[in-house]
Amino acid sequence: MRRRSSLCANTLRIATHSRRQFLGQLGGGFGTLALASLLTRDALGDSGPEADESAACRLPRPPRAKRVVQLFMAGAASHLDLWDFKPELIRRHGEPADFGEHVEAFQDGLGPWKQPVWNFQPYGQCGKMLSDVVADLGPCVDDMAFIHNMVGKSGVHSTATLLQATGFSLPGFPGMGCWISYGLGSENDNLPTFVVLPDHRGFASNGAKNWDAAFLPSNHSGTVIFPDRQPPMDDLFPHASGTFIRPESEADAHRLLAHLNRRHAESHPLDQRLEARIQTYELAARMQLAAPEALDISNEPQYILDLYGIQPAGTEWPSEINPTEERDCFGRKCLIARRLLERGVRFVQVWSGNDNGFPRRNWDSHEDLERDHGPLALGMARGAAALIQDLKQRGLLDDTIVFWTTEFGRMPSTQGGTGRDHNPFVFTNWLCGGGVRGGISYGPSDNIGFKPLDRDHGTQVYDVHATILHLLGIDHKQLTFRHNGIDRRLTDVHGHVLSDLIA
Amino acid sequence: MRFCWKFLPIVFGVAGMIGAAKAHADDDLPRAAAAILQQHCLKCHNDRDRAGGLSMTNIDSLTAGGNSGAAIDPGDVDGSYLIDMVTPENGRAAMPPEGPPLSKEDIATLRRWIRAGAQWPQGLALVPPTQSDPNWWSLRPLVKPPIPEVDLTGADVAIWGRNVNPIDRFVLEQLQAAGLSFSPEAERRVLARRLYFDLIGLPSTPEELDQFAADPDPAAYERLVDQLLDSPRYGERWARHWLDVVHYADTHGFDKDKPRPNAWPYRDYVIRSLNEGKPWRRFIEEQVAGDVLYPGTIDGIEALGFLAAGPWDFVGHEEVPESKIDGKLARHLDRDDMVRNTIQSFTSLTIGCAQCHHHKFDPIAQREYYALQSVFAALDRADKPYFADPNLMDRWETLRARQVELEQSLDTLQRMYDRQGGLTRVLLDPRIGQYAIFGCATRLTVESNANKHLLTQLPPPRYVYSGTVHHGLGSFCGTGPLGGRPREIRILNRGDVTQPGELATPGALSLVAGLDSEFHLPPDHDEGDRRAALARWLSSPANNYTWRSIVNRVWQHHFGVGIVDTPNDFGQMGGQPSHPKLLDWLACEFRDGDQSLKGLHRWIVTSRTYRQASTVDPSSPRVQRAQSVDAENRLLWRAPRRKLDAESVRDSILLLSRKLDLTMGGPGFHEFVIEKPEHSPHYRYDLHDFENPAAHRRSVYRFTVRSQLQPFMNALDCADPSQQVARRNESQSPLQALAILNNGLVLTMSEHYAAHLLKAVETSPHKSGNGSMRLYVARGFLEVTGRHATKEELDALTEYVDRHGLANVCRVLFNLNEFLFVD
Repeated sequence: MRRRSSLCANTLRIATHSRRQFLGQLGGGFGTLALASLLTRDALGDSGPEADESAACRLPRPPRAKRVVQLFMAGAASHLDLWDFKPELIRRHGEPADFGEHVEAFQDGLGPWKQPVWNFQPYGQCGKMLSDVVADLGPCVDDMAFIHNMVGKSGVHSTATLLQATGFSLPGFPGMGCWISYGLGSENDNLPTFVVLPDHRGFASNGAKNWDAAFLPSNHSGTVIFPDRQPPMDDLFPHASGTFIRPESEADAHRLLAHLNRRHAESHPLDQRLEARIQTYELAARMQLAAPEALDISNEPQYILDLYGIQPAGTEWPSEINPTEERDCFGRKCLIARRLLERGVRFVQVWSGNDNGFPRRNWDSHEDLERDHGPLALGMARGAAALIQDLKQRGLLDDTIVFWTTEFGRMPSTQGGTGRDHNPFVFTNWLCGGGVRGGISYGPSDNIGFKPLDRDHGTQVYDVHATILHLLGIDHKQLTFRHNGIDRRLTDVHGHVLSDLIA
Repeated sequence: MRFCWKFLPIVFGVAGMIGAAKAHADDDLPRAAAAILQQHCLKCHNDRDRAGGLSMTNIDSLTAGGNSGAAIDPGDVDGSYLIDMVTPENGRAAMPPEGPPLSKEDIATLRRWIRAGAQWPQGLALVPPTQSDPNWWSLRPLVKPPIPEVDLTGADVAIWGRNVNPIDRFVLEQLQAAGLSFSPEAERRVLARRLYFDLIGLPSTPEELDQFAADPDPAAYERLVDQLLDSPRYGERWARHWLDVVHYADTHGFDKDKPRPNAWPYRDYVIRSLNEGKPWRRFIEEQVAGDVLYPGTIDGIEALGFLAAGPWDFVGHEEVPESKIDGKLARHLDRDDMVRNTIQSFTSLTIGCAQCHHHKFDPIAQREYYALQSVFAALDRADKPYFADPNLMDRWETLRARQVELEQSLDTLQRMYDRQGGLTRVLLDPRIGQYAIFGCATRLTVESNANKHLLTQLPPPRYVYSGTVHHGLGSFCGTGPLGGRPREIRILNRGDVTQPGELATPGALSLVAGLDSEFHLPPDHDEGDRRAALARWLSSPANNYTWRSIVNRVWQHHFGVGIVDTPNDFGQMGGQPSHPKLLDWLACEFRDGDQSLKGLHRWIVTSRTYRQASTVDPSSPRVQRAQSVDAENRLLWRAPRRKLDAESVRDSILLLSRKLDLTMGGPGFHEFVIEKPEHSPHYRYDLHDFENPAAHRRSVYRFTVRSQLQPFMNALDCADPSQQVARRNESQSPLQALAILNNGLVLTMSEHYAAHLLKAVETSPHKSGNGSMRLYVARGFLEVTGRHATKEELDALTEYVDRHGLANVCRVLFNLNEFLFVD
């Protein structure tokens, strides 16, 4: 490995920085692959003084993963009832909860210990214990890596969601997908680089702040797509008020605009923005063709629709939450996610759960865990399992990371009734594909799933983000953007690559 | 160039002295050990900060130790706490808290040093290392530089005459030093279009352009400048720039993102203040402590919306009490936002990182950060009631205070009653005194009702959402129940609310030479005194940051880039001024004059520098030279071409379509439908009716939602009110193209504009003969771009209009680069 003096290393970093800003200005995909190669070269071969040189942390070359799909459970999904089997809670079920220390619960109620609502059974070669309610993921466990000692910083939904989504507890920081869009650009200029598929019943805490570009150029913002709305993304097609627009007028408009704008650019030399803007209209026209094609699942074969649990379009649903509807709505998003990833979208974020209101269509089960978590988990597991299996059968799982997360976990005790309060002290994430070592459970929680077993070494969101960036070929310390005097990073000043999770 | 220095490890002070001994040679083990300690530990463990109670200044303080006992035990390596702390396990060590652990060699040196008895260099007292450069430009005192004498060459005189203003002399001095010169003056119509957008954010009519272009009066330009600065549209345009900086919005953000129905009086205050040409000093003081320094004025109250402009964690306050960790965290972050908003907006200093440790690059100590937090320690964000009449205000406040008192007492009684199990326990346990509770409650209820009645007799107060002492109940009670006494603020170890350290005292920053950072408040001072002291520190003529900050912000909005290109960071991670003398001259002139922004605008826009052409001939030797020397145009050898911001695009489209409603002030208009307002309002922009005239007002009056930006404005790079935006990003993307092509606003207004053009041309007395489409198109092009279309352009547009109609042409016009860029 070639070493450089610190001054040289940093000079190159500056060059990268300003080039990146220049490219960012142009938006879309202009030359963004070139940026990616610049970045990875900077981080790889010419590791600067800051680069971590331990073998485990050396960046994979070529990168193991090219794209990411993040499944985000809004409201805080219970690790204890889905992934993190605690027989001790079955033994102590109903006994008064004694944590052996002062516990500050979000809503104060610390009722008796509560066993998992569903039974757990072993799956796969690794024998991973999964709750019956996520049994659909059983066939996938040998490809999955669970992290059971995730620790958060707050039990408040908004700050905790921001932390998991952006790496900061305050609004005003770019989402993870924005950073990856900024770092790697697009594989397909005809589609947005970062797509968000919200729960169609509403946004989670903080709304768009979880995926906005903040100080990064705005083209790195997550583009929200509601596949069932018309248009599915903002302004993809003329608003309904534009009744004067016809297909022929549209084609002519594009020609006329290009003509007039080009004349203007010619008479105003030395300004690259003018030409760049002309090109954005060409890309826009291509996006108008590419996006509907990507979102149209009507030609998917029936066995694929069944795999994802998708019901015929227009199915009427009862007013109560139910598994079939949850499978359908999460499955549709997962299938569309696969179609987008296949077509070169770099980062897709799929949300399960709306705002934390009532009736609950979110994971914030303070009152009745079985009622909410049951259908939501059945739906989530079916869609997630289908996505993993479908990506795998297409050979895409090798370089696609599936990343499941939530804002925090839930308490091993009840709140007096049949729900569980917030538990920011420990929760579970899992990763799959894209160079992730399958069939492992990393970082155990304690025997009741209250805190990490090793309390001083919990895993933080920074570590997970650093690991994902690493698999994408990016040193998380090198992906920076200067804003208000600070070189900002997704991982702030933290983050360690979890080498145990890398295959 | 400006980045280069900071990557050099500049370490001043003792480090330089002992640096030479860093050879780790055993013959100078004490010095080697001291150097390691200084480099890695002294930043926090010094005599002043004593993190964990420990100073590591010398051997005595090391052996005396801190909260965890002695740091070292000379001779006993494994019994030395220091070694425990710095030795990594799984690649991580407890200390230092940030960055990589100490190297193996450094740890080995410390071990050898302790084993050898931990000798200390005679008389050495370590001081914290600093990476800050004491000569950094913004630390230098503000001294008015002399206006340079520049030789005006024959060509310059021919173009400009000899009458150049001081700004031009500073700019010319640097241009000439680089062998460059000004570009010629922009064509008059171009200049006027630029001035309109720049000062009022709206286009001129072709008639106004014609009139100005034909005006023989040599002072015509100056008159136009004055006319625009006198327009109420000016305040609306420039208030938006300030609202970006202070991250104003009409909802809280975070979870639930509830509306703030009373945020707008602050927005109106800013517009009004700018239109009035309010002195900057007063503008600062009102926003930080207007209630104290300007009592009895409406501005003094409404200005306090500044302190509350940023986001607020509703759940972290309303649902979590201050006694809990999450409640403490929410309030800590809330004050953090107030501190950052105040310091960054007025002084262009970044300070947030000093909440965990001393600022890494600027001389700002962690203690000073918490000194600033304690200035705001009594405040919360809440609706503040007020009356225009000070007598009414007094009367109302007295009654309201009594009401809060009464309700609290009743609340306490109710809880006592509940705790004791209600009525069933009354007779079982005579000690409880339920009867006493009943009696007391009855009396209090009677008084409370009477008091409430008196309150309802008064006219209802107005409200502004502001930083204020909050009188609340339950989790979000504020400091009102305790008489508005500031909360105790402690220096938080690593910014962690569970690790409070020493008590902080209110104060400002010590980095401004010649300006006292101590407030010298008497022990019985109240919270308002703290804010007033900070306001005076900020507005002091001696505060070199304040005056440079504002003139730089104004300059930036005229030229696209500030003299310092990092307008929110004058610290050492920020930029260097391109024209340092000009910056200081402007700052001094502004400070020593009437401090009205209007005066500053007038100097700038009447300068030759501003009036240059932006379009240049790339084949001319002058331009080729300029391109090779200064392609980024930092020296201002031509005017920059500016892209219209989101507000100007939206407002212009409405104005051109004759739909812009110029009503000023009041609650913001909605461009969405609110669904499910009871829990977490859903702001459905996709359901908005673009024909609704209530939403046809200027963009500064938009009801801005923090969690979901308005899609059209967002695509056009409007400011994100979750962060302090000093300078907006400027992007070109397919999504932006789609927005201007397809957004409902553009399409509805295209039709209205078409209808207007038809009518206007038909009824125009200047209509020359037939009413052919060519005339409508020509008129539209002229209004949108400020220029007559060429024959060839008109041919192309006419062919299109004949096939697809005028509304389609209007849509094309709104998408022209020539509309969206200003020469």
